[in-house]
Amino acid sequence: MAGFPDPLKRLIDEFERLPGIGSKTAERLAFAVLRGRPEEAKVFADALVDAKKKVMSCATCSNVATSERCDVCSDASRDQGLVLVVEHPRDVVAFERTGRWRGTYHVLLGRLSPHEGAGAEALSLKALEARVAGGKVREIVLGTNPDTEGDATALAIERRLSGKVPVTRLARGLSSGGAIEYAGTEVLAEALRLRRPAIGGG
Amino acid sequence: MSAKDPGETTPALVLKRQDYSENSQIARLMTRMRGKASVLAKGIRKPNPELLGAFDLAQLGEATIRWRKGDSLHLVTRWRVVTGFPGLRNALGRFYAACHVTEVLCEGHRDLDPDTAAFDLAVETLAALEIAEPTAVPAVTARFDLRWLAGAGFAPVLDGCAVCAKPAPPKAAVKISPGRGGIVCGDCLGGTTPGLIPLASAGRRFLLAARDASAADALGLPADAADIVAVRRVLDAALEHVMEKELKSARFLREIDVQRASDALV
Repeated sequence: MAGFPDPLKRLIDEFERLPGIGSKTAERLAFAVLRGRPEEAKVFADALVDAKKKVMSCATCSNVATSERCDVCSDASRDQGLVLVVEHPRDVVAFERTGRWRGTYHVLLGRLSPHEGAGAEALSLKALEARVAGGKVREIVLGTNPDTEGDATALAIERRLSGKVPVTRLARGLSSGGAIEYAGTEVLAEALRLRRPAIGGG
Repeated sequence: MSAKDPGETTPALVLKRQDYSENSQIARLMTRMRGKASVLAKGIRKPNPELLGAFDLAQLGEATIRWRKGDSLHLVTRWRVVTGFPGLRNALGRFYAACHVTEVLCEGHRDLDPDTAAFDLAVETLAALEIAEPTAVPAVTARFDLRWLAGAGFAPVLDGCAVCAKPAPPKAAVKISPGRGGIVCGDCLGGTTPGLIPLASAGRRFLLAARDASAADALGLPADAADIVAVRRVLDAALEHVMEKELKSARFLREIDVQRASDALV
């Protein structure tokens, strides 16, 4: 049975190497590229090469950057004494969207996942410890995901930084705008456990 | 099964999961009724009256699954979390041990091959782990490993020689061969027996006690820290022999045990 021509097969194989892309999706993406105009394929290829060439890790916080320090770390108006620790650069974007965080970040580039072989050595913890040792950090806010691995990662960081700097963890429980009837049991249990005095009450 | 089939409801443990598209997740579940299975839960990450709470590692829940004939990815139509064993997140030793339990189930079972004993053992172990003191984690984990190995037909022989059945004296140090199925006595050692692991009498007593203990009793079996390193080596080798590869979580359990041993020496 005839297969795809070699150049198409190569394109499919390259898409399939990406996380979350199976063979069917890779085929769909490859055919989408073929359907487009030649100049669109060129723009797509240039974007790939350009991103790979120009995007690097921030020397301070490991976030994505286009120079030695990322936009946040090089922003003099940000409070360098506050460091929000997150797992991934995508989390930085999520917090930045709120417009409420005026501190800086530290991107771990992963989390503890023993069953996937990922330990503390895979995280940017030494850089975080170096920032704390620098003496300018007043508070570390642990913003890892509120799931099993995220909590374990937060615990490991808390242990490492214990006694060196105040460490806090993000609040958790019900999401604003959500409905209680659709909240999972774990979320409701957390919301009950971490309840606080009502605003303006008492 | 027709598209309108509501599916089958079963207790299930989450062994692995990953986000899929904007609001969905794919997971490896160990179900009590049908064994291990890959599932898709569409829209589980957004408010949904049928899928209450996203999948999380080592979470126990009740899943309604629409089994797709001839497909390796089945559809979860309803999900209720029973417990996420929150205590597992409060101590790294518990967390590492829980990852070990889920990895053993993930790597040691074929898809859609039900094993209710292994399922119940895992649930019982996770429940014990979430309240285990750091010193009790090795016993709870060893109990799980030994019972899981027994269920798989690979229980290491610890009472006597696995080759000639000669009883091993209680206070004797022994040598264990994962390939030969347990203790190998001096008479049966022969010229060269590869992969022999020496185990002191205290380590062997610990393994026997963990094997025979209830989950609750295992919580009260703190081990001499120095023995735990050797005990873990025996269990890891036995699991590796069955799985034909080292589990990824093994080094994390060893790190904790080595740390505990060096703390005990200080």
